[in-house]
Amino acid sequence: MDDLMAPVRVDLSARRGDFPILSEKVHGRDLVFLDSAASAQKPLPVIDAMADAMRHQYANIHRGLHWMSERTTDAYEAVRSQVAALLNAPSQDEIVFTHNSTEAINLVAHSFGALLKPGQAVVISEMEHHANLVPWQMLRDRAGIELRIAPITDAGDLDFDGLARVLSDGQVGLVAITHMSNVLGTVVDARRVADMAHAAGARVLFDGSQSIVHRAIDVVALDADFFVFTGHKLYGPSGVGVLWGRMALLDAMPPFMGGGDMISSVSFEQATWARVPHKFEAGTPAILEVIGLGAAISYVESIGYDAIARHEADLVAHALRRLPEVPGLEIVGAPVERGGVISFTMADVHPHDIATLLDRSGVAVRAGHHCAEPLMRRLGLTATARASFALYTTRAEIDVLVDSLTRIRTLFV
Amino acid sequence: MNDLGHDLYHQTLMARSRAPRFAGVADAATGVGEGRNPMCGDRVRVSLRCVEGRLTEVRHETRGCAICQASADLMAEALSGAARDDVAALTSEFEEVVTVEGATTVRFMMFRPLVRQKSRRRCATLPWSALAEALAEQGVKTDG
Repeated sequence: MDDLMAPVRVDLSARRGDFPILSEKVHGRDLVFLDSAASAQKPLPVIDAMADAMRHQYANIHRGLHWMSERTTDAYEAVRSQVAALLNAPSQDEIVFTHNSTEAINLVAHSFGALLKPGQAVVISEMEHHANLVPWQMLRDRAGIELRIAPITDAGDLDFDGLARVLSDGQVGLVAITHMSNVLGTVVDARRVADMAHAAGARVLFDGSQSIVHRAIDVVALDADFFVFTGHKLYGPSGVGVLWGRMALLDAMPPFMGGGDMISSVSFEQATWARVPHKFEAGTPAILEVIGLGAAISYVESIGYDAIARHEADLVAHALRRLPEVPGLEIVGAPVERGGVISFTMADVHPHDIATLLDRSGVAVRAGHHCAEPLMRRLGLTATARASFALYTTRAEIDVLVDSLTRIRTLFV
Repeated sequence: MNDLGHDLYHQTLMARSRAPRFAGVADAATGVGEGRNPMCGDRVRVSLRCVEGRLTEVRHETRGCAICQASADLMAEALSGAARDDVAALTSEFEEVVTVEGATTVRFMMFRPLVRQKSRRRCATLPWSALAEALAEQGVKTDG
């Protein structure tokens, strides 16, 4: 049955046991969790790391002189170097902890945005999540920055000719673009984007919220200037995200938020800033969540991105083979390279009805506009249903999805 | 109940969503209102004609899910011929069905499962929002 061109299959089903929630029942059925692109489930090492910290080793960081504070600071800072290694960042000081990708992008829009001059432009694409659209609209309205949109093709790939056009006048200060679409699954050729941006005198930010779940990231190889991701999609907890930026840029940028931890000295008249990265980490950070993220990264690395990518490529191939068996089903987009995300519509059945009825079969999918309304309009749709895969997803679960969709369809026609 | 085990998607609801009886635009409408759900792009436009305190025709144009379609159609049916003074009571009756566990009303009972499915409640109430706007347009309030 397998295509000769299909990648070598890697069976990760034994890893399902690491995720306690996967043995839960929903409406009396086995949970089939196909909504990992919204937020992934958590493996035991993450759960244990956070619980252990709360049970045995917890205090505020960077300020206590006592044993608990020092040890917790060490644990927190150890994750910074883990993240740097994960991204192949030149220095761990270039790793800024935020609360999610959205905050990381807002940080860049605020602080790198402060370095842009009125009349300069920021480029995003037609397939951005609202998180990589609204902060730039706010910057545009605040600072007189032009916001330009690079088009996508009908297949759902970035239109590089269109990107070249919006870069051509040399006025672009930053290209901020998704590395993998949360709707289409499109994996963007980031290096090509970076090369084009740099040739036009622009910096480049990649939103890696989806891509880092499915692909090894090397910010040096991508020649990125900024890269952001969030912990909760990478099997870590919610409430922690990461901004990586080149030191020269982070150093030149003013702080994002003011408060404790981000200062060097403070008087009633003025304050001076702490060095990067602390300059951008105002207030008590998400200590437990950072520790949880560290455990998640260790977990992912113990499996290896190569195995994860091959497993997910197999799932995507299986889903693309089986989903068209459902009468009336149409897969949205046909990108050149697709991560573990497939959006679809079904003739005569609204995506919300699909999601509600799938839920009754224990199958969790997302339905709606996926925080990407302009993309929906570009595609001529108001909503889609979306199945997304993780390292714990199985072919059998995709078969349950297909069978459930086929039964749902009979209700409506 | 159907074989998918969902008490919400039963025959009446599915029949109404597939073949609505009150779809369209009211002749010589005296009020038009629209409801939109930005979460899913659903849209309901309600048009009605009110003559001497009575709703002589209520129609809807609905782009939405089965629950939204059926709700719009059953709302239009319940309101057709009703005194406009009764609209507030009907509206409360519907709201009670979808928000109060064990509601004792008799109409709209097919939407009862929405009490426990808050995420889909808006699908059913959207037509009623459009209705409120259609009535407000001609100076009739629905809140009693």
